[in-house]
Amino acid sequence: MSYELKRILYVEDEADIRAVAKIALEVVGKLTVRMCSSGQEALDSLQEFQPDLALLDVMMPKMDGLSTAKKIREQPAYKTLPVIFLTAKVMSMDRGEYEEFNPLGVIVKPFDPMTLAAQIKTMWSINCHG
Amino acid sequence: MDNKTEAVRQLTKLKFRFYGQLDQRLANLQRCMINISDAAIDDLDCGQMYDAISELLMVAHSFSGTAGMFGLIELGQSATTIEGLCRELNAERKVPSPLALCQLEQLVFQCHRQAQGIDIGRANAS
Repeated sequence: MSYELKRILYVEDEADIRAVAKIALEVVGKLTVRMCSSGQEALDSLQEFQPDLALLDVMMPKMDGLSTAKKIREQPAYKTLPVIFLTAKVMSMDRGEYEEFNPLGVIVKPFDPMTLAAQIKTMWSINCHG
Repeated sequence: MDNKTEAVRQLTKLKFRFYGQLDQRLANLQRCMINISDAAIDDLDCGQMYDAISELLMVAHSFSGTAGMFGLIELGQSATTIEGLCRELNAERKVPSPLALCQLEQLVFQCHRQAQGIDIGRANAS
């Protein structure tokens, strides 16, 4: 069954980057976004927000993006929730680490706020959710 | 106002707020570098040095992500290089060589120099 991407759960510890992404996804992309500053906050938001997709920063203190993805997927209702990872250039070579989550894609930071939403929507449609 | 124009307006506002915080962020990098130098002078165990380098890594990581996004490409790249070097040093789990410490110091100094040379108008246009 195909469906349109509408709701994104975005997890990023950096307030400035969250603010830029909020504009990129909500204003440019017309998407509904729940901003979370930690993996734990994301886990606490899942039931209430019911995202179509999780957009996860990889490097975060305490619970990183990979651990957050793992905890999300451990929940029966979200075991197939699509994920996209956001990572800094310096870490983008470690893509093997992400493979167990079969992500829709990996986006390298710094991203272009004017094209971020389009990039995510393309990844979504390529993976047969369009 | 269409949504792209509105996005540019809001992003510009964020950029200028970030530029206003540059001095504070650079001081943070400097403080972390001083902590590393202190750990090296005290010649303490690897643990203290590891913690000091980890702190610089996190500050540089934060700086690299945000600076690049706000059009300060060179500054973001320098911070990314600091982050990469910190990652390598911590992977070795030993007190860094004087040469490696000197490289880190120079990179932090380079960030200061680049910040002094920022043409806000040009960065805003990028």
